[in-house]
Amino acid sequence: MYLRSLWVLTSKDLAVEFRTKTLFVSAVTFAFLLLVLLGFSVSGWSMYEVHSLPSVLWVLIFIAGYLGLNRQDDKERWDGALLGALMAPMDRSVIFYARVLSNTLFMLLVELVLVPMFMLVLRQSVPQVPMLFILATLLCTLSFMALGTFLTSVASASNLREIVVPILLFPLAIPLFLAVQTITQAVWYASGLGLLTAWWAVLGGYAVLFLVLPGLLFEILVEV
Amino acid sequence: MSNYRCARIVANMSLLTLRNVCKEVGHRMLLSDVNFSLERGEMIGLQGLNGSGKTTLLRVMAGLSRPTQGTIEVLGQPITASVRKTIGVVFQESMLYGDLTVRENLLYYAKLYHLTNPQDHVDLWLEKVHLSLDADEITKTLSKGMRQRVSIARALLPKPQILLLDEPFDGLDARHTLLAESWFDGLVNEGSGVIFVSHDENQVIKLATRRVTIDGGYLLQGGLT
Amino acid sequence: MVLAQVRKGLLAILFAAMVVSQYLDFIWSPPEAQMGDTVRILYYHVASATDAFLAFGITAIASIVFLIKKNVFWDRLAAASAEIGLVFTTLVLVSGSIWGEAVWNVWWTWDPTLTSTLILWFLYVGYLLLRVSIANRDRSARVSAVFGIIAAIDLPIIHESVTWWRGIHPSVITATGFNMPPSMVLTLLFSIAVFIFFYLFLLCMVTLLQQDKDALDDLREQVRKKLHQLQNERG
Repeated sequence: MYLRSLWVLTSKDLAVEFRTKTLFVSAVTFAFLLLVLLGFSVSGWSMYEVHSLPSVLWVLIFIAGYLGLNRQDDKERWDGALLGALMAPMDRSVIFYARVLSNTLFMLLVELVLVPMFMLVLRQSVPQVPMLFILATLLCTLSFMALGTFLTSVASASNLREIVVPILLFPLAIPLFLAVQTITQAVWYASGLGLLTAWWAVLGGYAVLFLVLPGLLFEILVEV
Repeated sequence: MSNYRCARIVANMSLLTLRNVCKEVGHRMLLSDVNFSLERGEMIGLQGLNGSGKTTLLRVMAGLSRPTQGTIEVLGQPITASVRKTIGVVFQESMLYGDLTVRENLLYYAKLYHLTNPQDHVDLWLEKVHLSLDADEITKTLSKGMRQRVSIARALLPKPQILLLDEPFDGLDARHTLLAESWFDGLVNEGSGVIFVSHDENQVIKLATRRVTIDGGYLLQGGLT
Repeated sequence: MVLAQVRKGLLAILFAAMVVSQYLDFIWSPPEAQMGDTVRILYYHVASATDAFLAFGITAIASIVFLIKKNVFWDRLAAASAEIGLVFTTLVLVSGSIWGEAVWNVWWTWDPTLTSTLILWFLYVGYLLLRVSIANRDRSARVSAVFGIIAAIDLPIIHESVTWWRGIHPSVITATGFNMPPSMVLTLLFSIAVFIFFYLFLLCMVTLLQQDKDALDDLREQVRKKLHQLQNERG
């Protein structure tokens, strides 16, 4: 029953997104523009300096991800659509998990476009340990979206949402950011892979922490 | 024996009971010590001035807002996930997704309420609210009245036993007002209970079996109309 | 009345303690061998940091108790502590920055503790913004409590990860440990004690202030209601 409700909600999100594509288009466009600007500022850099760029990829992804979260939230607000889900006969935490799931799927799609563009524009080679890079991307995207979805719900009643969400989200996401950029840098050039245990723990720990806690607290957050 | 007694108790049980319900938001007492029950076959007209607490009361009854004090029972149980399926609402918000079509919206709700053959239910209701031809329109583009019809169909799809209506006829033309009235009446005759807010005195006289007035968060129980 | 008396008494003690503390900080304690008088910033810096972390802890604990007991007092306490905590965190950052300029010749360094403090500062700002931007008082209390708890759970993780991060990128500047003579230790401990006292005093005052504000709002609401009633009776 739980899983069925989860799927109904997620497939609804997917349907909305495939119809409008606002999240995908806005996230990709924005990230691409940032990428081009970045391209200008690093155009004079030496090969050695360009080597430290892969970690910058995550600045783009975090910002694009935040934009996507915002869009998603707007849709839930139009004419009280979220209230309908709250009235439905299911545990309300399903709403949270469905959003995390759909947000993660969207973001992975965005990354699928963004990462090749990144390599192209900034003259980056392909990651030398692709499997680990993919694993880190999956884990980080899931954790970031869980954290972001949770904080969007936290701030949903705030009338300063546009500023409150990033100011809650980015500081709390710093360990995630440090972890993923360190791992990315290491797997891109296959150097220092053995030193990453702690960072993998951060990625995994964040995913667990922000998938479990919000599920327990969601009911408290959504009640009017 | 025990089964028989259980059945009796359920039959006699109020659909919805509020005991000493208070709702305080900030420093405002939006509801003060509300005691109220909705029985099967009742159609209650809820009246009150702007800001008297009608909407708050309906939200509390729907389980969207938790009372500061007091208890709410639906069929003798506190409001939980499984109890929520007996409650249907038509509020000021249509609760529809603007970017989905009418059919997709209704299908979404039919599935959320775990209806068997959701497609059939949706087709039936599209027919009833005269939106079969507009079923594949994007909800955002509909007029207010059409959207209200979809909202009513959404609420009635799972055949709720308790129906909470906040200005349900808002934006409806005469023909669809009559239709909606007949559906609500039909549900009441089958043993459901309805609470509706309406600013139209004639409509309250015509529909309500009992009227209740709310003033400054206090509930004043009226007699039969 | 009694409260006013107590408050005056406490204020007098606090004032006296602060005067003594200033004397110890600036006159009595010796300058440090290498840094000279710069070391005096330390007394403020460390004491403020103690308060900042104490305040954050109190906010988290009060948030948990609020979610369990639903008593507004705990919400007021959490909010008051966060407000004061933000002030002290700002002091930590400013004094840390001045210290950095004097000793290391840089205004800012990504030292793990300093970085975590900056993040703490952001968390406080977020917490307070969140709190004031939700109009519904109950919801604001509930939501801020949830965030207060989450932030507290996350803060150690943030600190650890920032430390690891600096570990991997070896920092140019390392905190030079220095041996403090007993007189400096005493001054530092005294400063910390006075600051904790100061924090507790402020905490009581701000909580009481909030309580009065709430009472005033209650009264205002009652007057509003009464006026409406009168108007209805006349109309």
